[in-house]
Amino acid sequence: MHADDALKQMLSLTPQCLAVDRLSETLTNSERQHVERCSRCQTELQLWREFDLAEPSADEGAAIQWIVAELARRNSPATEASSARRFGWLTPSVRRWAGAAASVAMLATFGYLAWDREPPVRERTNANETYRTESLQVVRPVGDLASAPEALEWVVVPGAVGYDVEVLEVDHTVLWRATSSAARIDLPPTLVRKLVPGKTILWQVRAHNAADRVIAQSGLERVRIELSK
Amino acid sequence: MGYAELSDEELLAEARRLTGPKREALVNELFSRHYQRVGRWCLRFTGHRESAADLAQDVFLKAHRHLDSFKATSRFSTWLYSIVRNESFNRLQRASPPTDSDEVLADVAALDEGPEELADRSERGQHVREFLAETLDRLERAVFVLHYGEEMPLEAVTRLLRLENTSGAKAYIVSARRKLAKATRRLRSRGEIL
Repeated sequence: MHADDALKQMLSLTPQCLAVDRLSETLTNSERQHVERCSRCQTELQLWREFDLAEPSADEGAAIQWIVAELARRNSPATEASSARRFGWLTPSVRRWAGAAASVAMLATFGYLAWDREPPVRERTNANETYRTESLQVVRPVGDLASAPEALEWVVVPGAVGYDVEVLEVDHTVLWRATSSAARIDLPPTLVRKLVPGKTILWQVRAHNAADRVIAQSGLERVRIELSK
Repeated sequence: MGYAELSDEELLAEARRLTGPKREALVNELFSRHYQRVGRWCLRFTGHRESAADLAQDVFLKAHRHLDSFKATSRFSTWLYSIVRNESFNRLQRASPPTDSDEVLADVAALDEGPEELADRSERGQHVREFLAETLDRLERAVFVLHYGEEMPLEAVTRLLRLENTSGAKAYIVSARRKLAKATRRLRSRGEIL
């Protein structure tokens, strides 16, 4: 048996362990005796208490407000009802005609773009050109590095209450995301271990204010861990 | 009729007497009472508000789907917690399990065994849990069980348990392992094993 599995098995549930629905109840004597000796049940009780204590700390208040508002928005019956009303007239036959009309419109648009394009907008060529007020300046890491970075740092944005950070693969697959209230965040060891020599990643950070609007954002920063010499 | 004064369980009983949009309105009212609690857990678990909102949404969808299975033998919030907990733990990425399990097993004096003795480790699991309960303090125990038992990444443990020291859960793992090694040596010197 692999050591990970053996250790996991030792710490797994036993028939004597408390079921989750007993956590909030008054425990019997035998349950209490078991909990006093069982580190797993003690941990489960602690997690339950963490869940039951619904007081967010100061640094997570804004994020939780956003989540609550988002849940309310997603689960609003008014949204569902208006959506149903909006699309209720779309009977199957109307949908078929609408589908055909949409296909014709798409072909026409494609033809216009392919054969009658306007001249392209001139690309920005000056690397030093700065963005307006929305630019966020990163500090480190950038460019080629001798070893994997352990943290990301950027310059504080006035008015920002939090920063959303993303680390991405070069194909823009998100490797890791997190929110920080400071202008720095430690990378988790699981991610750092993946940053092997030769690996290239991208990262970016967005600052948001108390009204949860993005007020500044960095560009996509490229970081490459150099191959050992 | 005002529902604010009704308990969760009474509100759900009321919803079950109704059908259609009225029922859904009461269920929404019931769920919205727990948005903050579930959102807070999910935020600590994922560390990112958008992922947290997605996880919380899945929790409420599942709760909605299985609402009839709630038998009111426990508090509604406990039932909801069981869904939150299971949904969260099911999402843990198993790609990076703890890498030092061998060393930890050495700490708890289990590596001297042969293959046949490994088989009865599950029976000895209770002894190991008791040993942890006696040797470690509350936070060390919780960090140890979540990281090695549930394979939860240390950064998630740090957020979930609100550990505010500089190196978070890692410090508790280091301290726990030091205590375990010391306690094991003491047991061995007395000729005892786990």
